[in-house]
Amino acid sequence: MLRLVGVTKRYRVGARNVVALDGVTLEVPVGALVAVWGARKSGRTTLLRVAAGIETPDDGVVELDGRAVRAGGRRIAEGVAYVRTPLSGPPGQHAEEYVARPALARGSGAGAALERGRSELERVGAGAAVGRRIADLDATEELRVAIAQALVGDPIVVLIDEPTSGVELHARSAILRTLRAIAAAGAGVLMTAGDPIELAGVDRALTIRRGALRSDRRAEPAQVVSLEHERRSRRSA
Amino acid sequence: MDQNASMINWAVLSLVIERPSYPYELAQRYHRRYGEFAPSSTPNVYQTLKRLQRHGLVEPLLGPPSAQPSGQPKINYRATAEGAAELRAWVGARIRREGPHGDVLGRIAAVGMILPGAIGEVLDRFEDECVEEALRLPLDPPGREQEPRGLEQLLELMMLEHRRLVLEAQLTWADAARERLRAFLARRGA
Repeated sequence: MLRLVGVTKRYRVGARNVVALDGVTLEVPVGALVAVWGARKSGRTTLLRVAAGIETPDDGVVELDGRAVRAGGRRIAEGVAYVRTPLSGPPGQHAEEYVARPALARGSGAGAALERGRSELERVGAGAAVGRRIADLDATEELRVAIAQALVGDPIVVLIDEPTSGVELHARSAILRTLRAIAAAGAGVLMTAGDPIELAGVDRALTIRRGALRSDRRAEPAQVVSLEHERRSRRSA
Repeated sequence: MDQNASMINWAVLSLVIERPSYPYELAQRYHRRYGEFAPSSTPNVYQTLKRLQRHGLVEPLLGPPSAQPSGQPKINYRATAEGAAELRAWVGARIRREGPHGDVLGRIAAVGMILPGAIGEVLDRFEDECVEEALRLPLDPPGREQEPRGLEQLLELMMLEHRRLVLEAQLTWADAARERLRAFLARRGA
């Protein structure tokens, strides 16, 4: 479980001190999909960066399964996956090679790493990207490839910034279903949200403003009656 | 008065709280402030005033004799303490229950002049209600995770996306309105 307690982060911008995070406390248990809704400059991305261990908080604690997340050298902490696009690799690299990179870095053999890369691409619905150069992928495919790479590290928690930003309208719900499935398979998922669709299907939505969490809501799915159902019940009435 | 009473009741009550007025003057103020998004007729404003009086939320004050040939005094209306309390309660009540558009603008127009601090409160509540609705909306129309095949499925999807895009616009607006308010209050405080 990812846990932030009283996390504060300040930046110096010119002569001003800006509080990017102000005493943030939150938990992302395994299996949960948690969204943080906020406007631009609300602190939402800083929250992910601190959770990833890329930024060190000025106050407070970030823990993963009870161990303090050590931020160092701007590297992402062990057990955390931070999904980021655009992809940063040689443009000629194939999608499965890109996805396999964390496995290779851990010392897996090339064959096993590539196999893992292919299977994670299939899992996130990007099987069609296998064998293609990353420079030839569209924005939605790139995002899927980035998610697949995140999963290769077997993370405890997956962090993702506005997952549907840049994704075509018709592909957004599929991306979010993929995140839902990742949570259901046992990882915690913490994402920022700037589009209402990103709140659909999450377990919990927090709102952040000026670095402070403001409200916290848990999902209670609405009774949505399909047209077909409504017509049937009208007929029987 | 029922918190669900239509917008015009709250609008007229707030105008009277801002400043006691004669019915004609009140109707003119109503048209200026609400003409754009809650248009109504002058007779309807008069009827609303009578209704508020019946509920004990406003009361008549006899003014000086008018210059009209009849010489009858013009009746000036002011709010009662109960009227002011009812308006305050309404500001804190749920905003969006009356459908996707709710009455956030009406609420801001009604209270902004009397309680500027309450504008932020209204915006916060509006944002919370938008987030709550976004959380409740399904990712796809129920049982339809594939691209729509029939016309009926297409219509369901279009309706869902309409609700979602309206929410997006409302949330963007709430954020912009809050920025405006913050800048305004900072300028005023400076």
